[in-house]
Amino acid sequence: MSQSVNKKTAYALAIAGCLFLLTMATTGWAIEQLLAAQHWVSHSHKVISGYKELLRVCLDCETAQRGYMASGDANFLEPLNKSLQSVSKIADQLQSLTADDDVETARMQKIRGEVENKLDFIDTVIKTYSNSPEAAIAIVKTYKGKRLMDKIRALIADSEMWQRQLLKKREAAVASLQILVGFLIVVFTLLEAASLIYTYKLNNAFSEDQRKRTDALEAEIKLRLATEQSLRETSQYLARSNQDLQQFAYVASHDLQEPLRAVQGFTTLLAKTYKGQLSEQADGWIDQTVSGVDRMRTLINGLLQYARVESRGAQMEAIDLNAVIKDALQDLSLLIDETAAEIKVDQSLPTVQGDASQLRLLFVNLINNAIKYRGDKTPKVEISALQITPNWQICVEDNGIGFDMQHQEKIFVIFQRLHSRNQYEGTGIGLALCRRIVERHRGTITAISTVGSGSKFMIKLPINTGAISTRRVEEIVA
Amino acid sequence: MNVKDIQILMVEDSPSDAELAVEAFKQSRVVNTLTIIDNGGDAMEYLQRKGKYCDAQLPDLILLDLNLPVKNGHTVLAEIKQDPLLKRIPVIILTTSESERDVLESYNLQASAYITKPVDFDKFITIVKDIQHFYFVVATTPPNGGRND
Repeated sequence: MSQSVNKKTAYALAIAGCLFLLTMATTGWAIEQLLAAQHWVSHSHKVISGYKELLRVCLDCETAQRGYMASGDANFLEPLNKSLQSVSKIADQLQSLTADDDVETARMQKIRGEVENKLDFIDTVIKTYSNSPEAAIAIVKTYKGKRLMDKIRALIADSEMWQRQLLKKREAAVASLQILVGFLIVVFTLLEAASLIYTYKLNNAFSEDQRKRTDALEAEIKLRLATEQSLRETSQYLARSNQDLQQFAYVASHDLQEPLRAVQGFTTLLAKTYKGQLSEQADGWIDQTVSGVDRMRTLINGLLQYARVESRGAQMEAIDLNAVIKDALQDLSLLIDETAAEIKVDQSLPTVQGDASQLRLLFVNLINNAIKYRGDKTPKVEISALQITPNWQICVEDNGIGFDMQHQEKIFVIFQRLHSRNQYEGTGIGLALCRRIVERHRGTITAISTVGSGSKFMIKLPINTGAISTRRVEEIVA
Repeated sequence: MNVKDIQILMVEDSPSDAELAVEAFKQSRVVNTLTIIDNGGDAMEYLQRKGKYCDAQLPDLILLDLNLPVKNGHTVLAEIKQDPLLKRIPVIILTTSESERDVLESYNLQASAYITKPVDFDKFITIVKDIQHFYFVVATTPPNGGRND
C-alpha cells in the first residue's frame, strides 16, 4: 500500500519536474525568438535609415553643386569630397545588412548604382561648369539629375515599403509566437499544478489512511488494555474466591467438625441409651436429628472434597485410565452387584496427565450417577474413548432416566439438584466436583441426554499435556 | 484383660469431645482412671507434678489434642519428649486436623500415633477400643508407666 503510494508520488513529482523544465525551455525559446524579432525590427529600421542617409548624401551633393554654380565659390564643393566616402561606407553597411535578402540585395545594388550615377552626374556638371558655365547649365537642363533623383527616391520608397511589409510579417509572427508561448506556459503550468495537487492529495490520502490505521491501532491497544485489566480483575476475583473456598475448607475441617461431632455423638448416645424409654415421638425426633446430622456431615465432607481439588491435588503424572476405571469399579463393586449393572469398558482407554485419586473420584461419581439414576431398567454403562485432536474425549454413557437438556449446565452447578431427596438421595456436589476435577486437568466436561433413554457425559482432556501446572491459581495470585 | 489400675491422661479443650471420650471409654469398660486437662500449660504442670498437681500420678498413655490454649499440642509433645522421666510414655495425637504438616510434625516430635477424630460416634468408640486393646493388651508399655512408686 505505502509502496504504491510512494511510487505514484515519485511519478507525479517526476511529471511535475518535467513540465517545469518544459515551461522553462519554452520561456527561454520564446525570449530568444522575441530578441530575434527585435533584432529584425531594428535591422529593417537600419536598412531604411541607411537608404535615407544615401538620399541625404545625394541631396547634400546636389545642394553643394547648386551653391557652387550660383556663387562660383569652390568652398561649396566641400561636402562632395566627403559624400563619396560616406556613400561607399553606407553602401557597404547596407550590403551586409541585406545580405540575407536577395530581393533587397538586388535593390540595394540598383540604388547604389543610381546613387553613383547621380554623383557622377553631379561631378560631370561641376567639372563642365569650371570650363563653361553655360554648357553646365545646358546639362542640368537635361533634367537627368532630377530623373536620377526621382529614381533613387522611388527605389528607396519601394525598399521602405518592402521593409515595412517584412516588419509587419515578423511582428505578426512574433505576436502569434507570443500567443503560442503564453498558451504553452499556461498549459504547462496547469499540468504542473495538477500533478503537484495530485501528489499532495495522494500523500494526504496516504497520511489520512495512516492516521486511520494509527487510530485503529490505538483503539485496539485500548481495548486490549481494558481486556487485560478485566482479565486481571477476573483472575484476582477467582483467586479471591478460591482463597475463600480454601478458607472455608479450613474452617469446615477444623471448627465445624467439633460441633458436628458433638451433636452427632450425643444424639447417638441419646438414641442408644434412651431409645424406647421416651415417647414414640421423642424417638422419631432423635432419628430425625441423627439423619440430619448425617446429612450435614455428608455435605461438609462433599464441600471439603470440592475445596480440596485445588488445595490437596497431587502432582500431575502419566495416568493409565484403564487402571483408574478398574479402581473406580472396585470402589463401586457393592452397588454394581446390588443393581446387576452391566458395565462395558473400552479396552484401549488412553493414558493422560493427571492426578490418579482425583480421576478415580471423577469416574466413581460419574458411574455412580449412571447407576443411581437408572429408573426401572437394569443399568447399562458404557465407557469409551475417542481421539479428537488435541483432546481425548472420554464418554460415560448410560441408559438411565436422563435429564431435560435445558438443565444441561445446571447439573454441574454446586448444590443444584434436579430431583427431590425423596426421589434420589444426594448433596448436589457430585457433578460440581467432577467439573472441578476436570478443570484442574485443563479439560472440559459436558453432558447430553434424552429424557427416558439415557445420558452421555463427555470429558475432554488434552492429549499432550507434558507441562501442566498444578498451581495455576496460585501463580495468578503471585 | 489387664486388671491393673490404668491411668490415661487426655489433654482436650473441647468439653463435648472430652465428654464423648469419657462415654467411649466407659463403654469399652477397661479404663480405671481417665484424667482430662483442658490446656497445654496445665498438662505440663500435671506431668511434672507441680503446684496443684503435686500428688498426681504419671499416666500410662497420653491422648493429646493439637489445638490447645496456653501451650499447643506440639509444644507439649516436644516438652514431654525432652523430659527424661516423661519421654517413654506413649503419646497419641488425637485431633480434628487432617493436615499433612501436623502429621509430619507430630511424628518428627516422636508421637507414638496420629489419629484423626471421626465425626461418627460409633467409629470413635471403635477407635478407643482399638487403642486400649493395642496398648494394654497387645503391646507392652514401660513398667508402671515410668512411675516411681
